[in-house]
Amino acid sequence: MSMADIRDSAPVAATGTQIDVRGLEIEYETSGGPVHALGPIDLTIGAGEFVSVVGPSGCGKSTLLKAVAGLIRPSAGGVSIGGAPITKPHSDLGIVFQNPLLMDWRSVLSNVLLQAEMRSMPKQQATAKAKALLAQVGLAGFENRRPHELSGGMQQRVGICRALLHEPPLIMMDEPFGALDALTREQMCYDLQDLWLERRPTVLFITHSISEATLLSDRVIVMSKRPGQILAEYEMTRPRPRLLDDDEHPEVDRVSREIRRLLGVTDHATTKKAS
Amino acid sequence: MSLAWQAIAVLFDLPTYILPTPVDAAESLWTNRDELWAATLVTTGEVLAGFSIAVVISIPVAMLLVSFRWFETVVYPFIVLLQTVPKIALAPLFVVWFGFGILPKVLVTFLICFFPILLDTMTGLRSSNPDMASLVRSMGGGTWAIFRKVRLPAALPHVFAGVKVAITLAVVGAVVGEFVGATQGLGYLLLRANANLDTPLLFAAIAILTVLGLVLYYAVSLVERLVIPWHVSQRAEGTVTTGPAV
Repeated sequence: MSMADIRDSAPVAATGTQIDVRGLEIEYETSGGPVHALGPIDLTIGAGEFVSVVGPSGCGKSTLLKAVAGLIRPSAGGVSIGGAPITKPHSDLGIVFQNPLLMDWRSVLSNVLLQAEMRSMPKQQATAKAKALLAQVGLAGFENRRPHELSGGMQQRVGICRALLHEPPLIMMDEPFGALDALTREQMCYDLQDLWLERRPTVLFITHSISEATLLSDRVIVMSKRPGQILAEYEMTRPRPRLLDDDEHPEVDRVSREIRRLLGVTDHATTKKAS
Repeated sequence: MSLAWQAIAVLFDLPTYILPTPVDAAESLWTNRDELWAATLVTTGEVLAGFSIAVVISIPVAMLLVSFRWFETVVYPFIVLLQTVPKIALAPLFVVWFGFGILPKVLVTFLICFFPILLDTMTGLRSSNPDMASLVRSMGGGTWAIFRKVRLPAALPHVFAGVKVAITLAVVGAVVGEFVGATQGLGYLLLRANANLDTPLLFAAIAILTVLGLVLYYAVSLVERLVIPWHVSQRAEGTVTTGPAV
């Protein structure tokens, strides 16, 4: 299922769109008064760039993604995609959530084809495309299964196929591998790297995992706890395809340490010894 | 069980008007078969009419209630108020208003069935994951697409739960309607048998009502099975994932 053939070929020209986030702030009304959840955030994601956002739980990472996708209205500032300001849910994209969000009442194939139905894509072409995508992520032969017959990792692959069916120039992923076991996560990371290298869409990737972020990204954004603001950005320059075993790579090592320090992850044993 | 029943009735030498033997009841069932059959048709008709009207009305009303906040604010308190009035207490009123015909029975049945279906449908329509709505929006879908592709199918298991409760209550509704004032039907037959101390006939009518309830319940279950085979409640036990591990 790995796509070794692409790994050797020359990089593909980026097909993505640019995202501009300017002065974005989100405030929620709650019973205890307004809560300042996010911002102000200024962020530019270049066409075809893979940007990860890491940060503590509840820092507003998912809120940022939803605001960029036009699914929630900003309290201040705004977002534009490909130069056009976002005022309603943006539809020229594919979204993957942590929960695969498959419909129990549809088969695997039909779940992927939801994308085609909603966009009135020609049925025959879409079906062929969906089958090819499912085969590419190792789900050939599962087209007519129901989602509940699949493992968590397989379900998430179906969700990813659905997000890719219309070949969007922009993909947003909200902790897509968060609910999966460690081994499945690693495999999914590699699969995602392959899929990205093949088409080079713009990707906004929300994650808790520093190793996922350093493996996949051109740039890693670190967010503070609520109200989420950008603490730091790191360019990841090592050539692709990358491997998860590259922990020793100086860039990965340095960035991982700094992110852990920024997010307050401390090793008590060493801290005590030092003091 | 009917053997034990027979044994008790015979051993204690109970008079037939207190506890007839199953044989007595079966005999009565056979001798009164024409009348019982006619009564069964009448009662079944009332049950089906009241139940069907409840299904046809409560599901769209539930959709309106969950779709429009103002509608819920204005209408829902009235529905709850209506529900808290014991429907059985309304039955005599319906007889005064609508006479001894089929209409008051259908009305009582409808009122009894309406609320469980309404409530479960509302719960169902609110049960889908909000992220699912975001997903459909990101595909360019609007409120109607979310309703049709997500909320409605996700609500169906709840709708069927309500419909199954309603169909069992429907028989109660029709019989109560007949108790209050009727010239035909199984409820009427029950009262008449009671007045005549014809306990075997009473048992025969009860047996028919039970069978009627069971048949209707399983008919609804069958429809459920056909409509939502995908739901967890309809899956065969011990379903395992087969095929290549990924």
